[in-house]
Amino acid sequence: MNKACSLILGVMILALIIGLGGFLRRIAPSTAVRSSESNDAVKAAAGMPARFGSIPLIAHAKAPAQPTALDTLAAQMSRETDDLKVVTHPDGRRSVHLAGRFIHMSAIATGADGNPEVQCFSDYQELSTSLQGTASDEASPIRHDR
Amino acid sequence: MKPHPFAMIVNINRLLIAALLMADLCAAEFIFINNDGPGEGLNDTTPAAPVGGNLGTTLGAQRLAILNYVGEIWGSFLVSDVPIVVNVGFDALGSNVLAGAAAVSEQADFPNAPESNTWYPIALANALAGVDLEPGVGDINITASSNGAFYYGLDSASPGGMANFVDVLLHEVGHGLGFASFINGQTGNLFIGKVDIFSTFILDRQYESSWANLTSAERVASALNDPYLVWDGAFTTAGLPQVLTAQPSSVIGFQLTATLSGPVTQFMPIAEAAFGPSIPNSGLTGELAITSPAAACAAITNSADLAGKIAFIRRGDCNFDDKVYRAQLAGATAVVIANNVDTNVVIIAGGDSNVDEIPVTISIPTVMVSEEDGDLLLAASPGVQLSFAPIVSEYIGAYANQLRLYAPFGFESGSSVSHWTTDASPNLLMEPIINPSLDRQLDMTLTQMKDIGWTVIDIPYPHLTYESWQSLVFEPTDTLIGPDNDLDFDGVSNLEEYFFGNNPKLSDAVNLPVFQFTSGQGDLVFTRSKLTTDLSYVMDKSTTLDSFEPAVEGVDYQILSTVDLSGEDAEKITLRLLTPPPTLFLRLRITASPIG
Repeated sequence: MNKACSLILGVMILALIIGLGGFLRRIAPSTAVRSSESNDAVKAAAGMPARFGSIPLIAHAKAPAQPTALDTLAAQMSRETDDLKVVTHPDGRRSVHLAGRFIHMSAIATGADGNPEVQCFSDYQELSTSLQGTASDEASPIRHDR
Repeated sequence: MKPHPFAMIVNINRLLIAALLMADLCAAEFIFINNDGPGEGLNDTTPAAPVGGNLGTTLGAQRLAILNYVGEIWGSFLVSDVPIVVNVGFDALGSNVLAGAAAVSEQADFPNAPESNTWYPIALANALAGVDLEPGVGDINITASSNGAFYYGLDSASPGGMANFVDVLLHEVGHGLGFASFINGQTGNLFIGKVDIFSTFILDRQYESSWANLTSAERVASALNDPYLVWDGAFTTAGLPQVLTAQPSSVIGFQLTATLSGPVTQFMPIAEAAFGPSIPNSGLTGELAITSPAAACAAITNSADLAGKIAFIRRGDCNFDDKVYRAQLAGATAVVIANNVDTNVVIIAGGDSNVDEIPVTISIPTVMVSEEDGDLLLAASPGVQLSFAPIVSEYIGAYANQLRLYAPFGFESGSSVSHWTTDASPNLLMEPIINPSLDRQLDMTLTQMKDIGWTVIDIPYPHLTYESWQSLVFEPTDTLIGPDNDLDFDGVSNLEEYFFGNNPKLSDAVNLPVFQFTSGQGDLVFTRSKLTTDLSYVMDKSTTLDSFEPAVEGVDYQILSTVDLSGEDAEKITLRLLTPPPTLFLRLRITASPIG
């Protein structure tokens, strides 16, 4: 066997070992278990009863996405009125609860001259579009004049 | 008081001293409800160093201090027997999102509502009704970003990259108090079938109609109709010269008038092109000439018809500057491009300054008109005369001396209609761009609040005309409300009551002008309202009462002192007589001229 063949064989054996390792990892408990064990250790250290035993390999349904703060903001800036109810009071007064909507929201956005400035928006899409044009990680001087 | 040889007379036109109209007014109290959970927002215990007069030592404490400060500022001007309850919550909205606010509810046809069938924000409705119409619910919602880039000082010294939380909240609370149109910007529809009180003051000077009387489609178009969209409130208009910078020669746009066959004249909205020169400030007139080909996307074949005239070109098929350049080569003085899209609005033409990939210079002005107006021009041609007249404003940010609203054409960041124009000078609190150089006396926002029905005290600039005062002090059922009438029969005409800051419905003689004789000097002392923008006074003199002549300041009298009466919207003026003759009659004459 020449050196080249030895090298190829060596590479094949190494690949087999790596592949076997991957297979073994797939049949072994998941990292979630280790995480769970870690949690148990934390609980034990805190004097709480730790949970022991094997963790069944079941698929966990993904939790429904929670509305983000920006989702909530979009709802607050909504101008939707279809589901708002007019209440007529005995004295003839009429009222509409706005359900937390119709908020005007200010944000640091990019002005017409490219500089950041504080703008007030009544439309969430406009706010969102303007924010996309604003570098959030780099604080730039806010424009102080027009 | 020792009798003095000088007599003081009451002239036809008036002389009296002011009895100030001092009702028992209750400044509005703001109550902030903390809706944050432990450790967040107002409960954030993160240590913070006191800054800019804010002595809070945690983030939460500093935020609360600013809310209270903002409440104090607004509360120092607004009058309400009902506390204004503000729900406050902080969320992690990101560093660039700041804070916002809105009314919690809208109310109509409540007790003492000035206008029926009209929506009012709950805080204002409570103030007008004198009771809390929706107890336990709150009046304004504030949402703020817990990780927003805020400066928490109470002063205006925001460093670069940070927004001044005081200014942001002053602005946003203004929306919650009533600086907000509830008309749908996309559809132009009223809010649940009724107009809101803010929108009743929106006036389109091109339509010459209030938004309340426009159709939905017209309101959509009007929302883009800068510079014609204005605030039609009497107090704001009267106070405008006291706040905005005067600039008599300021041209803010051009009014296109087309003289069609008949002759019929027609006003047409225009948008100036973003390329080439603007219409000269002196305006532009000329005869319209139609190009051939109509879209001017190839060399113009009727140059002889166009020379010295305003070219009419249809939109489409090639770039705007291509069309204009070809008309320019043909000798046109200007170009009107007619839109080919059936909308009520016209678009702003842009160009790349290249024709057939060769750089060119456009040297004639270009405007665009709507498709509908283009059809009118085309149908009436030839013989159509066009006139572009300059629109001149005496004040920066006004149109025909009314404060403009923000109505940019097409998309621009910020919020249209529910803000003042960004052209105003000085910068105003309720512009869509919240500048740190704002006047925390709330500038024109105070008169706007007064226009929609708030009782506002201590507005720091004159803002009354006789007509606006009349609407304030008289009831619809009152008669004898003219300037020469005397409703309370106390010998003081309504105009005099207005001038001196008196109550025209209370017969009172306690504050007649006082002639004081002190140490050999004669002084005339009177108090006058500081709120009048349309009146002034002059002194006349006479030795015989047969005739009067103007008394000369510095010769016959001098103004010894003018003292502001704090909190009373009035000033006390002392005039000293100089070198008086043995007998002198002095007359204080109210004149219909702007305040000096």
